[in-house]
Amino acid sequence: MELKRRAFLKYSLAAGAAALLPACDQQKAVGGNAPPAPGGPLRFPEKSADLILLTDRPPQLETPIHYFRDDLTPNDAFFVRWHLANIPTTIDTRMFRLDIKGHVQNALSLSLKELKTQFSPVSVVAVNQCAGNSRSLYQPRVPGGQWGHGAMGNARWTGVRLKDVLDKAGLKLGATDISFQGLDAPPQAKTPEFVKSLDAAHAMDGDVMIAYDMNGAALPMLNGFPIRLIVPGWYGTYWVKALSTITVLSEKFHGFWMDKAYRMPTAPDAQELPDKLAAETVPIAGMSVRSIFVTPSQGEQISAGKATEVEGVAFDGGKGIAKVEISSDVGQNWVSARLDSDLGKYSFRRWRYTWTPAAAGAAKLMVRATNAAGETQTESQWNRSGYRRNVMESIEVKVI
Amino acid sequence: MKKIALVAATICVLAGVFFFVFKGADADATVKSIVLPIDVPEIAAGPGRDAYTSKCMACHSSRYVTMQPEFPRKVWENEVTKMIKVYGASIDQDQVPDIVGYLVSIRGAPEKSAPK
Repeated sequence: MELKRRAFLKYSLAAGAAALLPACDQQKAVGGNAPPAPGGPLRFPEKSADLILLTDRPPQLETPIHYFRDDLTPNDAFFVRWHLANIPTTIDTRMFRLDIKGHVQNALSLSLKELKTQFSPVSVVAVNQCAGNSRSLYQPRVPGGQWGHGAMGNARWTGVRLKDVLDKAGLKLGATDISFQGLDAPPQAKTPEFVKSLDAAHAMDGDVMIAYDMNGAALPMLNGFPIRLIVPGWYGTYWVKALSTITVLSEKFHGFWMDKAYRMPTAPDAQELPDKLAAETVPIAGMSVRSIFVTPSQGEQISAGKATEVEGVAFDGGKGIAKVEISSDVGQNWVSARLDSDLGKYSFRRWRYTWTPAAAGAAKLMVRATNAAGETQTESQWNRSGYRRNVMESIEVKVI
Repeated sequence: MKKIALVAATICVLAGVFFFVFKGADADATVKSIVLPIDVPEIAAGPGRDAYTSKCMACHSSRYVTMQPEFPRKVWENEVTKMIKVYGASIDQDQVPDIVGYLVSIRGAPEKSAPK
């Protein structure tokens, strides 16, 4: 009975999915995408039914804000973003190999078992955030995945240090860049393959890792099973999924996804103006300081004269969150929020603030975070690609 | 004879299933497989629809367009140019106006969607 009902919902709601999207746009304008109607429209394997469907082929699924009440984002709620439609759907782990080749002493072809047994396992809690997270909040609007705040997640990643694997292969003198490619493939012969690169010093820093485990379980296929690159503090575009080839280069890597895509203006906060686009751009890299509200939710009713628990998460590119402040008077006065225990410098840092609104009416709360290096958030921001948002977020509630 | 062969075949199949299940208990020796949901949303009728479905949807679903806000014609022209020059879409030059026109008809910004 349940199956029949689900099947019915799937087919009937799917037909109306396109019609639902314009309605979502209105929600985005005030802070984040709305979750879809229960049961539909499309459910992806190993993923919760309430993920927000941006696109189906290739899949882009957004995490609804309520999942950020957990410090670690559940695997089945973790956002999904692929670039090329031919994504891996079947992996035989007995056949799978990670190849390390190029400017090395010994080229390697490691099985999953060898990766798990020949190197010391390490773990890190780290935020994976899409470069275009919150793009739908940019004004004027820009083309691209129309994400609310849910193109991110925080997980405990377990695997091996990239450095240990590269040491086993042995970098030859003059190794400059390392490129990374997964099992996803372009839909057309002329479409550039998805390959990202890091400079050799970054790749060898001991923090970059290859993860085979996410929050204590194997990675969902849509998050990069069986292994993905983890680049703590850097945007998700570098976290290559279903990682299968590592190439060590003796010269600078020049690929489409570094030279043409995922680039940002060089000005502070990646700023530029719609009528004066930056002439110079660089590959996007480390994450900016951010903080978002988790509760209450946008438009929620709260009581005047009564203590309300306000909560959210803050994070940055790895300096660590030092301070989170709240303003209830449009930025004139700021009060420190309480910080929960530190799960690591690359993790979400939960903050809490007890707010007792005095008078009834529409109210607005703002939040800003500052990291250990004193970097904080900006008041307004725009760039053509909708990247690297670090605007102080706000939330409007009704006090009754 | 046939019966014996059938029994033997059945045993082989069962053994095969058992072997697969048994191997399945070892996390390092399994085949993992998913099936992606297929769902083609309604593609609105209009001039240029055929070029749009055959060229754009060859690489990505229509939701890549329908999730976008309404943009002026210039933005859609840039997007189509980018798809051809940068992403290698096999769109003939004479199809470009049809595709841009269709994109404007479904996701064009109101003030600029009717330049006639």
